[in-house]
Amino acid sequence: MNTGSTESTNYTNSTNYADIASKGLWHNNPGLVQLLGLCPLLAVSNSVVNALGLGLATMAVLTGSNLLVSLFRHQLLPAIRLPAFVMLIAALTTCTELVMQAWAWELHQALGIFIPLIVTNCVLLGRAEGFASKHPPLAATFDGLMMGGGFLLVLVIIGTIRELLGTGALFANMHQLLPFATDWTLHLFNPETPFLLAILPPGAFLVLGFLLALKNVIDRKLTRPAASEDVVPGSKRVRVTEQAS
Amino acid sequence: MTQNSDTLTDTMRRHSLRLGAFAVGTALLLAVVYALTKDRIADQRLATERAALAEVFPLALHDNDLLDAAFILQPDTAGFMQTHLLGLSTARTAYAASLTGVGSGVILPLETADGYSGTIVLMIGINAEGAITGVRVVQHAETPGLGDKIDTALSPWIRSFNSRSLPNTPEVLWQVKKDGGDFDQFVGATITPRAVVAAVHNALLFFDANRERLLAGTTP
Repeated sequence: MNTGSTESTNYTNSTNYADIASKGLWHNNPGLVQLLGLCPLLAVSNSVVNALGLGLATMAVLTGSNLLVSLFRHQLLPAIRLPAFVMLIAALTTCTELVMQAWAWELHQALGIFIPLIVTNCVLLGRAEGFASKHPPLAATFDGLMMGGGFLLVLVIIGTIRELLGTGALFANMHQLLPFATDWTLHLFNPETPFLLAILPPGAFLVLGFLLALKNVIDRKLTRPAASEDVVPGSKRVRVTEQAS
Repeated sequence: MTQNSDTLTDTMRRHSLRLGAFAVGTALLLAVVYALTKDRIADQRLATERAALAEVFPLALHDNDLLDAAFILQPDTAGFMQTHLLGLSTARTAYAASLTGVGSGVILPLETADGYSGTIVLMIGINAEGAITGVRVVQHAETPGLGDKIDTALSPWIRSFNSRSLPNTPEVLWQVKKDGGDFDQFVGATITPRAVVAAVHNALLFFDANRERLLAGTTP
């Protein structure tokens, strides 16, 4: 496995938290660069509250699993690490689901199957294997927060765009997540007929596509002054590091 | 050779023990969280059910606990007339309301497959006079932005059934306006409201045919 080839080399050095943050939120963003967890990303990003709910739940599970994997990284022998990771992620997801049912019942009903499906989000196994199993607990927890935060960010941006285009409003049903947010709905304009494409699944693909393009444009602008680097040939799918290898 | 197989057995034992210990640990974690959330989740579930029932049948019209007065309606339940009017494809729950021991109404499940996509499942509350106290959509797969306006979150349309009854709305008016009836259709979506209006009408016919049994004051 070639996962985490750059990260495993520098783990003996002091942990660079700024680096972890910039990778999680931008350079190796799970949604925009690794393109992991796209199924929930596309399915529940039809409103801000849904996006925020699933994003927070994913972030919680990812942070928890990174912490636990890192704590037990010396006990997890290579031969049993994958089943152990899966067991851990499944347990944490179930815990999150129970907690959501207890304290955010309506939101849990709205997100439905996508909460249990957090187990299958490749970001979780990717970070457990590629980062948490090679780094101390604090760095691993921080990585979980940043990667989860990056995922959350993309989800919320797509949710905002889709809800705004599709319904002309923002923050509808926020009370499902925050009981005190009873009347947060912002009606920005009142569409004669709603822009259905934005709410339906194709809208999710289109918005994600535009975001990907935007990120690439920004990245190119930022790196233009530097000399163009050689592109390493090879598969660019399911990267755990930001570099294709 | 002996040494090799010893090492293999040893490794396997070590691995299974570690994995087993790990499984016990995660199971413990789950057990703790489950124990901590169990009661609250049960409360939430009951509260949601009660709130959903209160939407279609006002609290002032009954003093019994509707969840205790639930009964199952099958597509071919014996003892009821013309059960086919409810359009049920599977067993669903109905609730008998009573006030001081006298039957004061009923909440019926109904289905229609005449919508634009998939089955629409509804819940209807009917009082002792045969007038509708509320209709709500329980489940649907109508087109977002068009047919999904049958949901109260998106449009108050479904409230237009409130206080309708067979005596105050003649047979011919149980249609959408486009077909010469009394109920609005949606811009761009006629099929969905048409299906719901027909289903609600059928539910009233079912109530009429089974009035005595449904209002017996005890769970049928």
